[in-house]
Amino acid sequence: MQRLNRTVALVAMLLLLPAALSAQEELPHTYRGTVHAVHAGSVDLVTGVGYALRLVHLRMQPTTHISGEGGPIAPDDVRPGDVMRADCRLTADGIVAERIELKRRAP
Amino acid sequence: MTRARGWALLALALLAPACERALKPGDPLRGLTRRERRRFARGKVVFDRVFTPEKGLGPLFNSTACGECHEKPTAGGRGDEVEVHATALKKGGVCDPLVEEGGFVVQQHTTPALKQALGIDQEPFPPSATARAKRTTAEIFARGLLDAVPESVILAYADPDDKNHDGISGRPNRFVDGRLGRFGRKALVPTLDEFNAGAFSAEMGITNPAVRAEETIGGQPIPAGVDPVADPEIDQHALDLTNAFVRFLALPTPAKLGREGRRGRELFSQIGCAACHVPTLRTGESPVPALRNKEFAAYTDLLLHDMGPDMADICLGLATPSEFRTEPLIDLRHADNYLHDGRAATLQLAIAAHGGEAAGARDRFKALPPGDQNALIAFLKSL
Repeated sequence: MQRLNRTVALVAMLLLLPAALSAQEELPHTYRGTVHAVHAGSVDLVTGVGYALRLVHLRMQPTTHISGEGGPIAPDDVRPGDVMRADCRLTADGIVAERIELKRRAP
Repeated sequence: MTRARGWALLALALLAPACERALKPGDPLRGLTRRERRRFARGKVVFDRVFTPEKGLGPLFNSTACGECHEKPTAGGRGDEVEVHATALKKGGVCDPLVEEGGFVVQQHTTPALKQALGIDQEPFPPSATARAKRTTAEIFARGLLDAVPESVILAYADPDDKNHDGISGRPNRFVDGRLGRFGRKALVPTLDEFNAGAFSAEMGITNPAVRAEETIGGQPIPAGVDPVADPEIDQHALDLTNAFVRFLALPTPAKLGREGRRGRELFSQIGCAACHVPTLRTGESPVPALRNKEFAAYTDLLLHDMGPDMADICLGLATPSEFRTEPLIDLRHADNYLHDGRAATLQLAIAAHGGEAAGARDRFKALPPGDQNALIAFLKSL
């Protein structure tokens, strides 16, 4: 009986795991970092912890709102070296930036 | 109680602070709670833990344990390992930490599995690098105290445009996300916990709850099967204990100064060393009473200063190649080489290598009579 219960619990866990993961993928996420490169429709951000730096690829959509220096900013005006905070969604197609705020301009 | 016994007790109470046992390198802070002391002791075990590939080491690494590098004269001290950093200074002054090519820490060792897969003994040097730097292992005593110094205190020492015309123009570095940095030879990292978590990854290839993904091999993904241990390779508990150990490491008590040392301490301020090597800093609020509102002998302002072209190596964050954070002068008596890359075998040579903003103090040291030079060195060796 105990063995049966354990098996049922295990199967239930395995069934629920993908659902939990997909829910997690849609969770909002905030990245803060320095712009490494700007491409058409995306930006690479250097982020990380201490000396362990990582590159994050953020997709931008036409609806992505970019602001800084007291007003809206055009995507073309984002430059390598800018420091930004990006509120994103993790989706199956990658990380999508919904709102970007430039915190400091490149030196 | 007799009057004599009362006087004796009073004298004891007054003398007790002066008779406090000197803190040795590796001792915990005074005033820790029993729980904090327990965590310090357990954290030291993680700090000294030797990682193997089966325990998550690598596939790229500089060392197999925190305590392998930070070892002299005890855990938390200096080490003889020298690591390699590389970055690229781009047009317009933007510093690229070369994350696309594996990051600015160029690991010097590989696990046997990675060597077998790629035939490399170390991480490939980033091809886009414009500069290379050597970094010795610094001691990490009193870093909990440095961590608890309020940003406002650090910023109060900054004078980026040298408005007071004293030739010293310290400025803060900033992490990639814009926060004020204070740890590392170029003051890149904002907090002690982040420095430690990043070091697990960058120095040992140990992923953890703060750094969940391994870094690339010179920008390329890790070959399949080379790093089979599931991430994170240590848990939050182990990370917390390590942080507790490092945070609670005390500032070793300086040696008692004789007449020569006291003269040296006066000269240290008189010739301008203290303009950057600020003798004392004060911590602010802290959840740890032993770190709260404590004045301590830091001998740093945690700011970047231009040290001249002879010292220049890599850029990092906002730091230009010639800018370095003022090194805290801690436990110098156990150091057998000096400066960020260990180029100076003696304190005299270290002072002579100071340039840029420190050139004035260097020249004033050179102009001192030999007896006064010796006094200043005696003071530094008391730290």
